Amino acid sequence: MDLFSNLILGFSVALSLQNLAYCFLGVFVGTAIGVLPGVGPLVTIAVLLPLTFGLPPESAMIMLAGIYYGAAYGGSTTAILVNLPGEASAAVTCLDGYQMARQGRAGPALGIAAIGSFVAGTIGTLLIALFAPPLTKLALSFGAPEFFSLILLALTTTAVLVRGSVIKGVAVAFMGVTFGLAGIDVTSGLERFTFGLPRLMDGIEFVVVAMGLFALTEIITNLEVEEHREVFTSKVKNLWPSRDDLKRSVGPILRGTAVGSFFGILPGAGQTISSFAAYAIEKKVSRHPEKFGTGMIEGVASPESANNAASQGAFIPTLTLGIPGSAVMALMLGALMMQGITPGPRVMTSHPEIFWGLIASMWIGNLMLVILNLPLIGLWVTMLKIPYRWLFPLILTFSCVGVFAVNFSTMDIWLMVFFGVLGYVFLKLGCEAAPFILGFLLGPMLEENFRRSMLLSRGSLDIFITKPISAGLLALTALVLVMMLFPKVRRKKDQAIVEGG
Amino acid sequence: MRLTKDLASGMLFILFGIGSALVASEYEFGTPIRMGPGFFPIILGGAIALLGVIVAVGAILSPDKDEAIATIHFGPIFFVSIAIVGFGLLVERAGLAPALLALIVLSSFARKERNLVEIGLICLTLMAVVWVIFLKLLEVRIPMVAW
Repeated sequence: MDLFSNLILGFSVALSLQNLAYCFLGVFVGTAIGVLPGVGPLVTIAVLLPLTFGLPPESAMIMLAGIYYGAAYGGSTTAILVNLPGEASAAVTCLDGYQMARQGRAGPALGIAAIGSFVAGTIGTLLIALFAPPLTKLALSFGAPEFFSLILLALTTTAVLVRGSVIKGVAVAFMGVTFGLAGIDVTSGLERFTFGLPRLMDGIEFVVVAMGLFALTEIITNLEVEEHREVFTSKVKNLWPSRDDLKRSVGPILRGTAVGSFFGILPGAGQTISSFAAYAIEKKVSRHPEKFGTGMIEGVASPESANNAASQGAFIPTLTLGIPGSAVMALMLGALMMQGITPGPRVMTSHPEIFWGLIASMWIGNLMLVILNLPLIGLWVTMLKIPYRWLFPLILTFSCVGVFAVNFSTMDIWLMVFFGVLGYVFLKLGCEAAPFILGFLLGPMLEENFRRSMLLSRGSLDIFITKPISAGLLALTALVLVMMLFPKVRRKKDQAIVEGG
Repeated sequence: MRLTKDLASGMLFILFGIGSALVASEYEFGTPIRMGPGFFPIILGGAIALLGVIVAVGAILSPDKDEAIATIHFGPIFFVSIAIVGFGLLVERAGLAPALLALIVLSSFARKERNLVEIGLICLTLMAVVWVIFLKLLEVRIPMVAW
């Protein structure tokens, strides 16, 4: 069967000594940095992105995926031990995980998080292998109007699923699109938004935007608040959950995986919503719902599995359609583009070794996480004690040297400062930056597909409605927007995202 | 009228939308069939400005729903920006080591207290880390010291 030959190809790529080493390095460094309080997965990936540029494409993607899983697991460790979620999706883990740590059961909490993530990761990998080929086949039949509508849907749903106002989210995404257009216009050869700066002719470098918007903004906001944390470190012993723990966790892990796989494919805050939904479901099916929040292992197992399944699922639209559903996926896609590969449905056929190698390495990376975390938990705990005044110079150094090393251009450094300030302004105005990076990445594609559609239809907008797939996607976009007009739906959404984060 | 989050973001969108449309108006607009380089950015700028108007009007009509802008601490954003600018100014002229020194010393002012010995140690450690990871392992060709 095709599936097996594909997976065998993938494993033959991922299991090469070199790629195994990069996968291990990614998982290790990702966990190490992700564990640091105040450093989320987004910042971890942004800061480590330049380290992968010298690698061959498949190794770079494998290492980045490793960093991603490592950072996510590191974030859960911080959530459990310090009650500080590195990102919104780990917030639910805090509820029961931190209580378990306070009762001296940090070990089993961390252990079940790793096991749950592994089970979810295994099922998630299989799902990708199953669903990616048919989705790719569908995407290959897409023309310009379909892609235009699809990108519009992706931008809108991302804007909808972030915290706060939908209109602001869409406006921020469009701002990102405008910045994405800077540089030489491919059709006319004219320079746009370059303001006479030669460095901007090739457009604004993706890493620069990511570093400024995420790493710098996070450093600045972290420096605004005083450090205060309580770490339960002395009690981390015996990572293996007891037999009773395991028995209680089987159901939650499987239910969490199902929830996560479903929500993960949706663009936007799929991870956050899935971990929240998984927790809510466990509370509903439990015979002791009142005990949730006091250190129930189900309350750790389920959201952690959901979170990981969703992060796997997020790769499906990213790899098959070339449309990222979240800021992290935008970073992965940006990395692929910097390797000179145009994302989209053709990647699977033109670069099968990257596609299937990455998928196989997801499973290997998840396995490494389990193996790695048993002996290394002591090291992570030590890293948790590093104060922020030592950390932020490290992140600043990696950002500055990393950005400069890409093009040896000081212009990139000034731009990074600009995007850092912009990210800070967004934050203070209650606008999320995630739609911006998506808009920035997809902007040129949006314009190009619009232009082609207009050419096809001889200037009539009807083409977006007469093509059935495009019409369906636009109808979905409209439905999402209209739903947000109902106060009840909007309140439910805000509640879900706020409680989740 | 208070400058609230929504009002301020609405104004930001209006300014940005009009500004980008004005810049793009210098490029050829073209026709829908043969779109010029100005076509898409002008429409986009208009859309952003329109969304800005909706956000701002909403904020003015129901001010009680809007949140005030949280206190802005100018220290961190100022010193972090200055530190990076310092790095950028020095890295080509003087090399990585002086640039890192400027980055770390200047950014330390973003916090209320600082300890000179500690900053010195952080500097030395990070220079070593950069030397090993970027210069040796990744073979990036930036000199540590150059003048």
